[in-house]
Amino acid sequence: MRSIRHYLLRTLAITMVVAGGVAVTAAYLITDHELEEILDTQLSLHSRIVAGQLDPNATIDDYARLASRMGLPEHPAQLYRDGKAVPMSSSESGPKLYHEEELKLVLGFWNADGSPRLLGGKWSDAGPFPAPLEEGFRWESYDGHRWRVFSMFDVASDTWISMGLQGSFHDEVVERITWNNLLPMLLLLPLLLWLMSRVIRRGVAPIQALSSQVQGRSAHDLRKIDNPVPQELKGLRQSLNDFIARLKATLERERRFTADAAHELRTPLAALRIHLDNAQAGEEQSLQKAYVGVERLQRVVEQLLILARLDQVATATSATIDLYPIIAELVAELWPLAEERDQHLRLIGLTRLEVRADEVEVGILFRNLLDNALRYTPEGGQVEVELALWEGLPQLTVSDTGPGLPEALLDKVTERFRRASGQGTTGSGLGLSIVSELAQRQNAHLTLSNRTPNGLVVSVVWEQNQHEDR
Amino acid sequence: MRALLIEDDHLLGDGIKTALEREGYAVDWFMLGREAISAIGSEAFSVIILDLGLPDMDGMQVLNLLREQSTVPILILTARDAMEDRIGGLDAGADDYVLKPFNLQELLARLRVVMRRAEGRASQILTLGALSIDEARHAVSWRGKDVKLGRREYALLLELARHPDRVLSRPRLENLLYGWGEEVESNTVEVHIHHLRKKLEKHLIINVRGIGYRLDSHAQ
Repeated sequence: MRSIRHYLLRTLAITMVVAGGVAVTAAYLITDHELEEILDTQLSLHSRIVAGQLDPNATIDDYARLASRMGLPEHPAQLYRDGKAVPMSSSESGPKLYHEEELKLVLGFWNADGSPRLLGGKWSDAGPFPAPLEEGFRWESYDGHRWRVFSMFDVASDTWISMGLQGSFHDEVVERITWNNLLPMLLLLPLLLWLMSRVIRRGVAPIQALSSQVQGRSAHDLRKIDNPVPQELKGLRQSLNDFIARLKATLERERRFTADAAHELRTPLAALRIHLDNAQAGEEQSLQKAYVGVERLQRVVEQLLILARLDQVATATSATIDLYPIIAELVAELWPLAEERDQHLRLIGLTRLEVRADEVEVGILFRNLLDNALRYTPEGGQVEVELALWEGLPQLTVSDTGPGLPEALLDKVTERFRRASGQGTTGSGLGLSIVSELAQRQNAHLTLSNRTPNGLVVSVVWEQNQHEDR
Repeated sequence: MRALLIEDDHLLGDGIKTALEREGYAVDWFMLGREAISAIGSEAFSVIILDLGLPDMDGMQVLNLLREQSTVPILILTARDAMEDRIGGLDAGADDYVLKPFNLQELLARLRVVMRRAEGRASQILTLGALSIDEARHAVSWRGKDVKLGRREYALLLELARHPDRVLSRPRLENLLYGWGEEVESNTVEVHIHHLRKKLEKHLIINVRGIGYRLDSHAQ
């Protein structure tokens, strides 16, 4: 990714140069055109004035007199008689030169047949200037120069009159005007580039400040980014802050998990130890209680291992499986546990229910659900497992007649180590968290609700109808 | 010696209670923080054992509320080994902490230490005249000779010896000997005092008629 600063600087500089170039070119073209019009007007106007002054009966002597007025130093006007040049003396040639540029303006007269009569200095330097023979404006090349020429035919005196201006006069003016436009621009360009570079640098400074603030942070620094940023960066700052907040929440959850895991492992360990101490001191019941501690510890460890495995493996391998045999097998497996506590365990509903899931994970999920239900249901209570299609979606429900859950906890117990308080059972607080995690992996979702008068209903609903899925 | 135990874990609470009772403590065991807070206002305890991980309230909050109401030494049980948690507990007014899982002997020793410190003693052997009590060993000697005492007798003697020359009322002594809800027979304290006098010396424990008993610290 290229640098914004360089990109802006380059683009703006190119734009500026191109825009300047276009402006100067346009000015050049316009000046060129306008100046030509002005000069043309001057040429035609002066030609008409000259024509108006011509005496139809003028003799060669009159023209000789005129020639002496038209001639300039070193460029005497040339008089012709019968198409042949009449020798002229340069000393006779008239007035002095008032301005260098005067040399570039030339006047000429031709007879009606095109033979020259009187030509201004420069127009006779290399033989007579071509006869006009056509009225109007034109460009003419003569003696290595371009000439802008206006010609008209004066009927009264039977004379062609041409007035010409050397092209370099026009060109020089246009060039000078163009330069005058271009020069300040060329002088200002470096200054503008320098200013632009500074402005851009200042403009992108907040981006660099933001980036260095994020870059310079330690991994543990999860404070919000609160240094002021311009409007355009507020969105980015907001996104970064949201991300930081999410990261913080994740880390906080991890930290709490570690703390809770420590608590869940150390508490039964402490209990185990103290009961062993008590047993050694001769307390009769203590050894039995120590075994309870060991069982609980074993359960916590197993569930932690399950969670660790689930965290490791990103997605479940899923195939279309029939839930019934898996569920039936597990219900049978836990039957003795229920019987021992005089609980009524029933499996009802469909005897074939296909879902897309991983067989092993569904097993762990259901085992945890059933285990929870049996654990929290008092002796003589009922635990019911049902397989059903609910609005076309496969559903597994486990309901019990235990104490249920406080309403406030219903949507929280799936958090790891969340356990309903004040209960005498020995759950690890991990069961529903595992179930919830497994359900998510199966593309199923978990709902918990209390039933009246008492008891908990836990449902796992697979999101898609697996038959339609295929 | 009466201990207030606040522990939400059934199995662990049960184990601690059993162990403490064997040591001669009367134990009141609560599983919720708010129960313990209401108990501290109405009963006299020698020591409080508080597990910081309670389901209903934050352990630190319970600790603060207990400290507001009472100066009884508090020992906290914690599964969190993060330094901040332990320091936080001590700063909030706990006298000591024990990290789970703990050694029972260590727990008992620390309990003795916090109680002793609360009384302003440095040694674990309590000596008053010819009477000497080694709290660590639960050994009592009178005029240099070891005397064997029953669990409740020992607890009663220790209680009197901790407040020498002060009259302790009979209800208070009963309170210290028995946890809440334990059946107390009306003349139990008299019976234990009678046995103590017989095993030690009649004039050591003086009957303050109608009020209670006091231990004479100069008895020889």
